[in-house]
Amino acid sequence: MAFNKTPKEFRDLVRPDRVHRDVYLDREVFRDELRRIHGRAWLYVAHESQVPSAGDFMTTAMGVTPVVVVRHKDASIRVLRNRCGHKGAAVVGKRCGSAKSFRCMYHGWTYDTDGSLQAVPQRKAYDGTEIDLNDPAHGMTPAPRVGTYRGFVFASFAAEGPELETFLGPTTTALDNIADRAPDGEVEVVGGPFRLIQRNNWKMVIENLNDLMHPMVVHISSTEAAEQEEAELPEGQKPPPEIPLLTSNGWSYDFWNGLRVVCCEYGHSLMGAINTPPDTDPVFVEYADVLEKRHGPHRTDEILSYPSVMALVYPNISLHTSYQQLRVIHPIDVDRTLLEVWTFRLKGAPEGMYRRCRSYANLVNSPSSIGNADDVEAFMRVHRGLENDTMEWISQHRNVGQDQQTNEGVVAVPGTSELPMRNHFKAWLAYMTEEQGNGR
Amino acid sequence: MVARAQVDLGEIEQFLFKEAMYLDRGLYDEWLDLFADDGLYWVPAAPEQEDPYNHVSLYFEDKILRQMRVRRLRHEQAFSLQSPVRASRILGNVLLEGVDDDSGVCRVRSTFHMLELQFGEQQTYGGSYTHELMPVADSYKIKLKRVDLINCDAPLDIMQAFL
Ligand code: FES
Ligand SMILES: [Fe+2]
Repeated sequence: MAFNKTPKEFRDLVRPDRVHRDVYLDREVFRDELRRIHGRAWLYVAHESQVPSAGDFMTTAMGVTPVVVVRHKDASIRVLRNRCGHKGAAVVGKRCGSAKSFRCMYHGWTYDTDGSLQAVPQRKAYDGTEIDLNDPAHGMTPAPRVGTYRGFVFASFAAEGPELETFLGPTTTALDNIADRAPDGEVEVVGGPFRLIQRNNWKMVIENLNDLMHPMVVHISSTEAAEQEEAELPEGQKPPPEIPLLTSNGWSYDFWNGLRVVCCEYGHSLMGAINTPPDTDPVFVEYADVLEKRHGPHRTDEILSYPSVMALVYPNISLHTSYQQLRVIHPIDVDRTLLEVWTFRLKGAPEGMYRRCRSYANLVNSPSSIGNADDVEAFMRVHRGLENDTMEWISQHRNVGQDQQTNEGVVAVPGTSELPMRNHFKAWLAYMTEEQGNGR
Repeated sequence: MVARAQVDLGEIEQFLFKEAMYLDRGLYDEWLDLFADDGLYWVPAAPEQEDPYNHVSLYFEDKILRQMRVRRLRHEQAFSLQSPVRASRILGNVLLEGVDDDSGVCRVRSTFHMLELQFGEQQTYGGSYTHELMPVADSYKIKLKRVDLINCDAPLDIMQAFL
């Protein structure tokens, strides 16, 4: 594999407390990231519920590489590169569907659902030539490793590396928690995602996930809009759940300082709970009852008071446990990122529980979110601002030296520390410099 | 009982044109007033989406959420609006799809094309509007405004005002 930059050049871009702007701006760095990070790390690709039966498939991308996630005849899930072994055409054109095999629309090469080349029209024409059509390279080459954790499917383009569970580390507890919240112990994807374009480098999205210094500043317009709306509600009218979700962004620095952010190996993190479940909501009360009938009060309480609302599995997903949604971060170009937001239904829960998840997604994660608009604006401004030649280094100094080592990982002290950003770049540098770099 | 023949199509068209004008000119108080108290503004996120309850939506806003969005649109520190959002839309193909016998609510479908300025760049949106209009005194109130964008499930930039 050819890289644009040497390990030394990457080491020169990252200091323990700052990074060089080229990590966000340089297209050569971006191409190398795709190979060294997205080309090796475990990436979330789909949820099992999207491909329930043999032949079911959906298309997505790992980094910028288009792939097909498909349930093979033997019930295992395969992740195939969506390109034909003949001239490279994308073989699968639909977003999702069901197929016995995949036939390329150009010259008809046909592939089994494990990616192997099944049939080539006029195959004899290749007799006596140097091409070996049995060489797996002419198939829809599969990702060598696919793994599933509680229904969440991950794949890696690297043949070797840490096991999925080792890689996930403490973030397995967040995946467990989403599934455990379902009385039946599993979730299922509901419909299609939101797809939001952002005009910035993918890492800026990731950094914002644990940036607890920004909500009260960036979101002032939506926070105050919600506060004003609440103040003018008719006497005795209960505010809709959307209001506290927006006004909480305006809480004081003290609150955010007290939030627990745990930074783990491989760049992952777990963020403490902001909104405790509205236990007076009749839908929630009914749901908690169902859960309690299955698990008893102790276990139910354990599930519902799981302390992390948000988990980042670096480099491609952010998981919201208590509102059952998942954001997938797709790098498109050095200055363009696509965010997909998927929502989940808790199997076995009262139907109303999905409505909670759906209204949170509409409010917070929709392209029309009155909160998110200002985040997207901030990312765009940062990206454009960095193009200014007078600023080479970006500071990550806040609370350096105060981090607290624990069994789970390193805890940010206080919650508004820039530790999460430093932790991403620790993993980033490992991926970018080590031969077998696995981001540890 | 309200017969289709009694519905004045010209009046309905004028109502829709006025609504479009309020949005284009940012006359949000006037726009909010066009809705019935329980009126809904809905932009599905999937083609042919059946309802706003069992799937996410690009917008699904009742009175409070619409008012909240307007408050934000007017907020001094709505940073993503510092480069202003302006819109211009045209609608046509206005079709009376049905009239409810009991309530007299008219279901009206139309087609729209819209330009919007955002981040200093021009965006285009298009699709269909479905209005459910309840007759009141000498006008109508919106029970439902449904906007089906042709690119509702494609990658989208942020959307801040109403479609
Ligand atoms: S490109 Fe697929 S068969 Fe030729
Ligand atoms: Fe934010």
